[in-house]
Amino acid sequence: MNKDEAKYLLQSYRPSGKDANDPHFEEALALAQSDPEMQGWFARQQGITQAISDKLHEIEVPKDLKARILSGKIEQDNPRQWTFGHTLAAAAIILILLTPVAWYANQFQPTGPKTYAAMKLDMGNYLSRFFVLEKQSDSVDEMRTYLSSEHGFTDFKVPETLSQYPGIGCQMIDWHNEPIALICFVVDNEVVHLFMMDSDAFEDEPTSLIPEFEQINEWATYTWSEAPRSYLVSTLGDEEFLTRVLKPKRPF
Amino acid sequence: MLELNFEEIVDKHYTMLYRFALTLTHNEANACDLTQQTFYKWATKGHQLRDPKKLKSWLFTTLHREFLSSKRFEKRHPHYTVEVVESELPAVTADVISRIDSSVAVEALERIEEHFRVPLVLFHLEDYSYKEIAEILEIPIGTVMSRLSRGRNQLLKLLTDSEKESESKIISLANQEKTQGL
Repeated sequence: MNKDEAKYLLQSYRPSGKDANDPHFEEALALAQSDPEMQGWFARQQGITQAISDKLHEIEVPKDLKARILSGKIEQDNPRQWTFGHTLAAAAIILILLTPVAWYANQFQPTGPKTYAAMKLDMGNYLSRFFVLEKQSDSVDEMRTYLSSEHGFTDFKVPETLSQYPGIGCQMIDWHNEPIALICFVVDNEVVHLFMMDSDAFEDEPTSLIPEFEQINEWATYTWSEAPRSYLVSTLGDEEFLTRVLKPKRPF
Repeated sequence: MLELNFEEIVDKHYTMLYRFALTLTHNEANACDLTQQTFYKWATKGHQLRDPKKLKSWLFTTLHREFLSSKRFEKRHPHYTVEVVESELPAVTADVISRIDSSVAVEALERIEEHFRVPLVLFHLEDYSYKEIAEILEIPIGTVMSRLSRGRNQLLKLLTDSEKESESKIISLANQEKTQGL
């Protein structure tokens, strides 16, 4: 192997060292270590590779992208130069609405008894799947109107600390024939879910006006009750984050 | 059967997928679409994947396939290509690249021919090996190595030119200030 051949191969060698045991590079590496000129060249190239890599990692990601992915929403109001974007968006939305995927996504079979404890677990399972929000909006007022007019779901109180964040959308879930409303918000690029239901729907529902924290698997949750509704807020994350968002020191 | 949480998967991979998509599409909105479409595919077809270790490469492969299929709808835009045939890499250092703004680096990448650019981005962005890139792009290993080499050559040439251009602007501005007595 001559130097040019070795240089050619070593351009595919990763600075992370993950290729150290790849026999493909063995001879070229040996040459790079034994020849001072090659040694310098190789060190410079590895430095350049790392520098390019660092630059690519500086690319900023739109802050709301994660929330848009999770909501199943595909941007529609952004003018495009690329016809494909519109085609794709339309196709995806139509597919979601018309195929069994939508039916599956928005159906929800309870896995446990009709208790508040089982409901909390099931809501976590529901959020873990890909689901489609039936109403997409960033406005709490708009979602309130929708839940009222489409589902007759009224008399609920969104915590002020939460309502200051942009919404993603809302959804009605039928669980053991109990209507449960879900509103999703984006907070610091995380999605926070607010579930609301009748305060007397389950025997073991919370009675405290003061929100109480509980970690349910990967979900950080707060629950409280204020007739005629009881509330469950959940997010992927820890108590510190959700506490900072809700500031639940007193009744909402 | 995979038992993976959709939100956790999104959380873990959407940043890198978006960055990859941006270098393919050159446009933020289209990159968002492509990223979202990839997760939509995961939501509807991801259950077919049996090996959780393959999840990341599945997502990258899917995004790339989606991009390629989108090309059928894409209008031809003038494409600036750089022909570099020198066997030696352009004289650029890691320090020079570090000084360059990331948007300049992305612009330079955008000017590289697509079939050279894509493996280059996977190599630098996700630390994928030449073998993994071959698997994701569904091309032979030798082709990956050749494209990495040529793509890198083109990128370094562009970054060198960009650095020279920026230096000449600074000198010219300094001269202008001098003549104006600033």
